[in-house]
Amino acid sequence: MNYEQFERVEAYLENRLSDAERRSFEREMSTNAELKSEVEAQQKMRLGLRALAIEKQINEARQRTQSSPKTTIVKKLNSIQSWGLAASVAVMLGAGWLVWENNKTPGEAERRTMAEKEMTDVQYKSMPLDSLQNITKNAESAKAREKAEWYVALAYMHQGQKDKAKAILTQISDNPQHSYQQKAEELLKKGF
Amino acid sequence: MPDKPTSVFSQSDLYQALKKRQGWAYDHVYSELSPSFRYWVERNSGSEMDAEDAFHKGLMNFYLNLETDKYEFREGVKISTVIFDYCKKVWLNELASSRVKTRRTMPDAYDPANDTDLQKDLERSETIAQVRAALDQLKADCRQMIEFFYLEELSLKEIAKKMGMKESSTKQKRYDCTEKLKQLVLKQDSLNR
Repeated sequence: MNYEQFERVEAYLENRLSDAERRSFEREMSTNAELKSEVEAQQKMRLGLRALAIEKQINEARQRTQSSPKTTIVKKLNSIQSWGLAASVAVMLGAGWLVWENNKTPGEAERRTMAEKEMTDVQYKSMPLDSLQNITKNAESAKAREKAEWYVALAYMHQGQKDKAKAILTQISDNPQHSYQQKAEELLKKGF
Repeated sequence: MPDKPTSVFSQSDLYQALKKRQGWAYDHVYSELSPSFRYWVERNSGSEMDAEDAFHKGLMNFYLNLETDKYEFREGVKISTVIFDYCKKVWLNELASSRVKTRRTMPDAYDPANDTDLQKDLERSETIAQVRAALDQLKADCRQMIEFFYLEELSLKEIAKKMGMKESSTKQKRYDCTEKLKQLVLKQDSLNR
């Protein structure tokens, strides 16, 4: 298929042909199997791309409307530059640390460090969450799916989404066949 | 935050804005429905994650139908009620699937297997997965081109500027990359048969 033919099919699918052109195109398609399959292939590809564009917009809406207050506080803390203020925060953190020492439940920062330590595969570490989630559903190899599940849990832990991380880690740890069963079990004990 | 109309908008405004994928309309639907849908799923044997997954699938089904004119605006019908129903059907279908039906009971008499519209919507997800997998196989520059053109809907002029190319070259590159993607989609299709 050359550029002109491609453009013609595209114009047909985007309803850019005149009525006469459209009728002529459809007549041609009814006798030309090659043209018909080209239309179907482009139609399929365009549907998938449309869905990916919608998905992107849904994820953006989620980010814009569902920001967790915990994350906001952490971000604000990270951006504090004033030493005086930092000193007051340090006193508060010190008090917080004592409380933490007493009940031994790791906080968000500790979980973030733990997740970082476990993220040893640079490729998986740098992948966006939605790509990892996609691999958990669509990868052909069970090993790849399991590895992606493990990294989804680590990514949630890293983002401070404790409940989501815990839910996935529990699923992994409850499955004796899972390649990361033991690691998930250890992380659940250490981090939650 | 995308610009939101200052006056109170009608259902028809919302319909048109969603059809054009306007950010404020997507945000409105997401923030209006997400908490109530999560609550409904959690009351019907699902977790928070199940709720988000079904919510996104339901939104996708609705938005695709909206953009392809399979769903048309009806006066007097609240769009959020329609979308909630789409999401609800996705979760009821999940509940009815063999993965979960052994440990959970169905909340009502609705049988998703007999809902041909829903089944058609769900079949589309296979096509979407194939296109996604094909896109992942493209080289970085081509993937970028496809994302700019089809996902972000930038003009060739804007793409040329972003990619540091001549506008005439981006036209050819868009064609080459789309052809490559199409071939990869066809390959994915034959692998799945």
